[in-house]
Amino acid sequence: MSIPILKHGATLIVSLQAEPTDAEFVELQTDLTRRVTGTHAKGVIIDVTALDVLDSFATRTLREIAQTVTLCGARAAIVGVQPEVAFAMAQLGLSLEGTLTALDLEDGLALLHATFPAALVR
Amino acid sequence: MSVNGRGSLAPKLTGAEQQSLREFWDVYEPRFASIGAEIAEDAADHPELGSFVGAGNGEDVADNRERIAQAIRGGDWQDYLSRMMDTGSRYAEAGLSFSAWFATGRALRSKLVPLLTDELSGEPQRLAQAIRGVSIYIDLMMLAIGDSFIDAKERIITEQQDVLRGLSTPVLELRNGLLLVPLIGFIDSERALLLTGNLLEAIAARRAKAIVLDITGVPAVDSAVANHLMQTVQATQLMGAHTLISGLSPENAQTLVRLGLDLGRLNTVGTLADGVVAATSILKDAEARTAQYEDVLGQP
Repeated sequence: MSIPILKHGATLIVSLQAEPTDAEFVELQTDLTRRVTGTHAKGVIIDVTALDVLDSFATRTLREIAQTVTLCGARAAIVGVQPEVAFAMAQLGLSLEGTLTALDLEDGLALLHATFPAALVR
Repeated sequence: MSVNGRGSLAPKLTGAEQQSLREFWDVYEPRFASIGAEIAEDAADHPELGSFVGAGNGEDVADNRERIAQAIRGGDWQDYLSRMMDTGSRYAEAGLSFSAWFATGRALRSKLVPLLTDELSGEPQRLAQAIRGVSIYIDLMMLAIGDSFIDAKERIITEQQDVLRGLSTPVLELRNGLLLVPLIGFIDSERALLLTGNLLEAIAARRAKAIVLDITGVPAVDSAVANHLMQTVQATQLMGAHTLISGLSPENAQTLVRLGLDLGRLNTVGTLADGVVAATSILKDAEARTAQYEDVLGQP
């Protein structure tokens, strides 16, 4: 089953539950890009609160999603990285540089809309 | 000859070794008090030992002689060796150096060997045995003192490390959403990991948006420390927080530049006060964003 993408005004929200497989990540990347252009969304939030691990492939894909979304004229934010996950990622030298990050969904929405006013809820 | 594992204080001695000890003790026992007094007198001038080695009252000396006799003649070393181990712990706790207490063993040997040579000059066989006995006796004594001396030292070091570790990574909440981490002393990997872990937990628990990492009290910042700091900063960024580093000394700044490290990601500010001002403004921005978004949501 593909990962559900929720629409909230001009923002698309993806909440990752169980750790997606590599294939699901790639599918998510394609789906999201299509939805951004299809719905004229201006913001994308990917919530990783439920994940207790983010490996190098996941990290790279999330970064790529953010870049792709930017190219399509929107902005993406990754929210809800847990302390243990952040700790492990820093140890492994994995970073989400170039993407917006926020503590949780609420902060992420505020950050996204402040950074990119076009993504305001309509 | 060996002292059994910790706890049981019974050295394994061969029959010949026991015989040597007895041979030596026969000569030493009658002069035990006078030799002890001589050693104490010599030690009185020693800068470290002076205050430690009192002549001891007659009763103590007699007790001690009794314990040694019990060990050498009766084969029961428990009392004597545990007494020596207490001595070792006491030396360590008093901060006595290794060489200082080792000197007492040397002094004893230098008194005993001439004494035996005099006493047993006509009997080379017995003399050789007695001198061997001195070695065994002093070795056992030093082994017991040394073992407990090192144990006590290690215990002291461990205790101090625990205390330092507790002090090492305080995460303070300066105001709602603003954390202050004052770092003092050298940063090694263990401390850096502890710091990162504590800080990330604190960010999650207190919904912190801005952190000031003050390194005024860190004496040396080399590439390893810079890497640790970079990792900490990156980890906090993953959680959506901004970390500022304050208090980098001019010397350390020059070192880092000379090392050619890419410090682009280390947001540094001058002093702790600057850090707090900058962090407050970051925090204000975050609060304004939230307020603005709430306004938008509130609109019909």
